[in-house]
Amino acid sequence: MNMNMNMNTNMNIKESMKVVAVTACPTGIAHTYMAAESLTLAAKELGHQIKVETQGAMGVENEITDEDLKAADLIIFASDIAIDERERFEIQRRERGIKIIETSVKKAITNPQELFIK
Amino acid sequence: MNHHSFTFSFSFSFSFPIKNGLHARPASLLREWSLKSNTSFIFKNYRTNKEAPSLSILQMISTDTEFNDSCAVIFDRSNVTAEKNLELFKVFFDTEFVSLNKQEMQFQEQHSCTSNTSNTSNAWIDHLVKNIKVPRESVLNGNTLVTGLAIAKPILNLKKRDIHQIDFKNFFNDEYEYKYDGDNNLEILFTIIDELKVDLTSKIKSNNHTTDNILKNHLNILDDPDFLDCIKNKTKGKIWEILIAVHWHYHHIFAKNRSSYLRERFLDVEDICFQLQERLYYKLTKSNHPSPSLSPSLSPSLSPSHPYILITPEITPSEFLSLNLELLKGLVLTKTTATSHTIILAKSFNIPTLCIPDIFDLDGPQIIQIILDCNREILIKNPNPSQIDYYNIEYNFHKEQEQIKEQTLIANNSKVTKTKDNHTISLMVNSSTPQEIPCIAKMNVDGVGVLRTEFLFMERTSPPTFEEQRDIYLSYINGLPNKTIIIRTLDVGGDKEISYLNLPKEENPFLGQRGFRLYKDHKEIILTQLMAIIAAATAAAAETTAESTVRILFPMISNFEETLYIKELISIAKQRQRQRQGLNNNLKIKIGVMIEVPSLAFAMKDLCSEDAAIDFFSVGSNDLTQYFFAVDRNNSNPELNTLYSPYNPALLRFLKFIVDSVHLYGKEISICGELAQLTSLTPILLGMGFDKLSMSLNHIANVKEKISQLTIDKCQTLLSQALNIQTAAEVKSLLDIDINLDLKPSLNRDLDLNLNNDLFTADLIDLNCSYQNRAEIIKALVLLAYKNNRIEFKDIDKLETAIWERENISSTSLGFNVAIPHCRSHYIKSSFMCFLRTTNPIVWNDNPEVNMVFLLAFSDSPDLTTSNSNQHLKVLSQLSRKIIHADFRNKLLILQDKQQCHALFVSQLQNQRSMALPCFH
Repeated sequence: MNMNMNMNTNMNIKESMKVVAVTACPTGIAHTYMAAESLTLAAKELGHQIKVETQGAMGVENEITDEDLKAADLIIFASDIAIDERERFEIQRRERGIKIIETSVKKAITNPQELFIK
Repeated sequence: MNHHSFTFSFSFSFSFPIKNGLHARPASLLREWSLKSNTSFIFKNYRTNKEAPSLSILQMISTDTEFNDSCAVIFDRSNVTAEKNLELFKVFFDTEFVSLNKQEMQFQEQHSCTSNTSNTSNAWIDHLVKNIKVPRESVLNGNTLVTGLAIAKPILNLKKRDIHQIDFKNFFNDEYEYKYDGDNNLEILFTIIDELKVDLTSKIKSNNHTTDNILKNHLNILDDPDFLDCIKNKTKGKIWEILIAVHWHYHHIFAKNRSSYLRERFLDVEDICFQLQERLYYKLTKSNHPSPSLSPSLSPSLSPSHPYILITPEITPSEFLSLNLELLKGLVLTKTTATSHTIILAKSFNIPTLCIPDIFDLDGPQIIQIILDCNREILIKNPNPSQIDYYNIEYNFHKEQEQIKEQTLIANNSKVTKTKDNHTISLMVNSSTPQEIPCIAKMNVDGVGVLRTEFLFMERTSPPTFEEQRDIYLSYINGLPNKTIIIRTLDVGGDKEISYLNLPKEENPFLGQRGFRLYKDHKEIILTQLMAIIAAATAAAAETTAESTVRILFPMISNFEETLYIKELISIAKQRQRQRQGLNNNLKIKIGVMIEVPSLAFAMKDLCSEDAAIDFFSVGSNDLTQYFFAVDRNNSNPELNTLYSPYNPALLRFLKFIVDSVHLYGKEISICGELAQLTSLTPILLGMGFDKLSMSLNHIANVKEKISQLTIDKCQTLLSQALNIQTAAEVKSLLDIDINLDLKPSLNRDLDLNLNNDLFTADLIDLNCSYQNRAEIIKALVLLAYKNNRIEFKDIDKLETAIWERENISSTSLGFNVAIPHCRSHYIKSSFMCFLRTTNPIVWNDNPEVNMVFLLAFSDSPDLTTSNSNQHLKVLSQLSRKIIHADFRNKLLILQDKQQCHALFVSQLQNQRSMALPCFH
């Protein structure tokens, strides 16, 4: 996946974050995608950049790459089940001290704004 | 061979061939034959060492004869016609009598309950307890005897009927002691019997065939010499004790019977005894009030003014018929099985019936309402209003479906047979009795495709006369004006025998003298038939008519040479008819041959030539299939039976070859075997280009309906697919999938197509519903999916419970006023979505404000290709994303039209699709 990771260095870092998120739910048909959409909309509203990986019935889509991770300021897990390949995020936390916010799908759908806190 | 032959020179030994034993039906068949042939015989069972006269059904039943018992029929040798009668009996035995087995199997199939296994029934109870909050102790398990659903007040009648309770003693007290007088007693009893016979006979004119048969059965008992003798022999004692004694007499005999099937027949005798005793009571007491203890279900307290479910240990056929059947919604019994006459009646009146082990569980005044769910073999005591509402959704749905079915059937019978793309298809009826003429006339078909004239020749001692035949043919021609009548000449041999033809016994009758092959030896019989057909055609046609509506069809032709003999026979018949009464020489009667023998496929050029002068062909698919695969279609070996498959691609290719050959020479071809009535094959036959499909009367409506769903293009596509498949099973599943969904999964459909055609249509939308809670909505969504062919009937419950399984993991409503119940399951043939909007907000788990519900059903079916299923998933996931957008939801809330609603979904998804894959935005 060829990601456009060129950041505008003039951007106000405090206000604009690069967020990576993963959504997943038991059946993987509806809520995974609703949560992804909800996070995307909220990020837009708040002026953040976001990339959301969905782990649903179609498998992993829009996968977060190592490159994405290296550039990320915040990690959000909105999931009601275990996250696939969680270790790649944990490494970032351990090595770079990136915060992982873990929440339910419901929270991501109903109150997504509250999740974007570094 | 027959070791009794020296003692009884006119006896015929056999293993008893009827699977259910010698019960009322075979016994009455023997009696009927005996009456018709004006002869009688003794039926003897060597295993039980019992014998019975052929005129007594009761005694024959009492021989306790089971399948494969060693038996014989013995004719009185002093009778001069005994030997001939015995020969006639053998014919009757080998054909009509043995064929009873087949009829009974079909009958039992029709009447056997296709109810769920106890496993699914338990799963349903779990669902009711967990999700619908029905207390487990309110649910009783049973066995379904007649499927269906009823919700009504119960009426309990737990008193066991007892003939001793008809209390004459209290009535005849000291002031009038009814004295013993044998002759007087008999006279009274025979008057009552006659009255009951008149009464039963008058009831036979009902329109219900099943009722008529059972009433006839009861009349047979009243005529039975054994029954009458039994009454005559019991004249000692008080008159009211006679019928009790008769009742016990048969009770003892039948109770000893080894087969439960036969023991059940006692109910009919018991029924008759009750009815007689009741009449006797009226007669002696001159009262108009029924005896309080007699036939409790007939008592006035059981004539309610509201719909009811009758709960009673057992009930006789006549008691059943005397109930108010308009108000009777269901039956709960204890001591009955699916084959009893009462149940057969209940089935014919569509009364859901459940048999529960202990009816006394239902005793007590506290039960005011019952849900009788015979589709899942359960009964729910005192459901609460919300449970009734829940079940009412299903109840109303079934009612609606029945009405639709009935209306389509009526409409289909009378409508022209057309495909969806407006091609008229010619349907005809296979007929074997003139009684069918009025029905055929109402059907809007093109006439009779095969008139099986064998019925005129069978079960008699000499062939029918010229006049007799001509009149029958005329009745068809006149009864079906302007319709084509294809008369098939005598087709016997094989499994159809005729005694007076003295057919040789052959090792392999299906490969021997049958159909046309008999004509040389029986030239006069066939000439008489041809003359009768020509005479009828001439009489019916106006002088100026050039072509008769009558056609002649010859069976079992195997080569070109035989068609020359056909020409010869026709010309002799015409010549004789001309001498007889003048003949319209100009009237053209078309001549055709049946294609039953595979060799004809390769003789088409010769058969269609001027020399043969054959005008049309008709495929007899039953024989053609058995000769093609070299397997007997009635073979009892299940392994061999699978060889006889109408879905075998080799057979389909062969048929295609035949149709193409016939059309190449510009002739017409029809098909008249069982293949023509299989709706799964209708597209294949239309795709091949058969000019006419001919089938028995009761299949016309179904085939018409099927044709109306098809386009010629689609038929041709399916045909070319089927012809390129290797196995019968694959062909069958190709055609079955097509039937069930009428949507063929295709490989490359894009999102729009999915959304427009199968994944989501406007029909899958229901706006402004008034459902009260989650349970009702889920039920309604599932039924909506079924109505639109998204799931099969048998999978309705599985889908509902699958949705609930997901509901029980965590709420599917995560805010806004939206709930998204969903599931993935292999019962779903192809993924789909339903959308339902309620007028008032309802509580969905912890969300009290839900009024928009999306059902997302995703198919796990292994039949689907991965790419297809991914397409579906993609659409579902994009829909889910859309729900997050407030503007989308707000629009959905106000749209009042299903089509607009559907259009909104489509446009939103198209927009979404044009967006790049979300990365960092």
